[in-house]
Amino acid sequence: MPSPDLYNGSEKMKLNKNYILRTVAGSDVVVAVGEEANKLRGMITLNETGAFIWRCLEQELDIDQTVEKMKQEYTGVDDERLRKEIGIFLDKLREQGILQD
Amino acid sequence: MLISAAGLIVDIEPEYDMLLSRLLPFRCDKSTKADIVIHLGKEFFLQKQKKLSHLTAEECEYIYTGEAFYRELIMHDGFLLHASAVALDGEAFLFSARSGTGKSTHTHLWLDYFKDRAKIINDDKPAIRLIDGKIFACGTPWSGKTDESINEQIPLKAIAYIIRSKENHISKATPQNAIKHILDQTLRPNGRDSMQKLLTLLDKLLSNISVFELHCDISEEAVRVAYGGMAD
Repeated sequence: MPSPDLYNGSEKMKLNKNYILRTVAGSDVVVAVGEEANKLRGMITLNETGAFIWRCLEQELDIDQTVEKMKQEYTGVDDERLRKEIGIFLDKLREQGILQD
Repeated sequence: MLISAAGLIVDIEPEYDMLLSRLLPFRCDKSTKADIVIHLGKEFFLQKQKKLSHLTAEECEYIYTGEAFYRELIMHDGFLLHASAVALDGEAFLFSARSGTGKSTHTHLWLDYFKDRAKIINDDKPAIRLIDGKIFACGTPWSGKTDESINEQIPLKAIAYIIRSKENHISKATPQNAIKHILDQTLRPNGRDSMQKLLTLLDKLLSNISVFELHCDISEEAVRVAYGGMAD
């Protein structure tokens, strides 16, 4: 299990283009297309924070920028906790092959 | 020839009788520009048949023209739902499930129970389409093994996902489950753009139409429970 603090703040994260996040009926769902559709037949549901981080990745923000954006959205949460949460989420995406190296 | 199905004009040239006979009820006499063109050619079906030896070339034509139609449908605010669609008093009720669960069995119980008030719209592959802001269930020439399909578009009332059970009960599916059931029982788009289109359409669908989970057997009570939950 990689530790969340392996992520460097200025590291650029790239989402695999074959995964799409959409809000459908109030749920943030991720579905796969193309070759990835064989790996993810159904869908993944993201929670609010996950969807927020995903949308930062879509805008090609690095971790420092994502943390800044989250601080505006979720006031009163410290940097360290945000970095940890982002790290855990990125680890999950990487495990699924959704983040491209 | 031109046909009109799900409110769309389709230009299609049948090679074999099976497809031709399914197309005839949908024939369109007007000469007008087609929304969808399906010209796959006899060679394509013969090639498919070589790989799929359990099928005849005419079955290949029927299956692959259907697939072509439903793939194009996504670009016209519509999609396929693997379901048996029944109309009751002018409203459409769709029953979806995996193959072999008893979709068609259930809608035929509706015909027995409601008699002349009910009719099958499409027994296996109805098109669901947004037309002028309203959602319709539509018959098409493609309806699986049977030719039970009519050339009509009927306002969609509700969708139920069937789960075989010894007891009859119905409940609303959570939005996540509703999306999952529909994605499982549609022709999944391969491309990013068409998947985006489908998800946009599902968002509209789910804000207007309820999706239920129906646990049922094959009794008359199953019909009453389904109708009671879905018609509200």
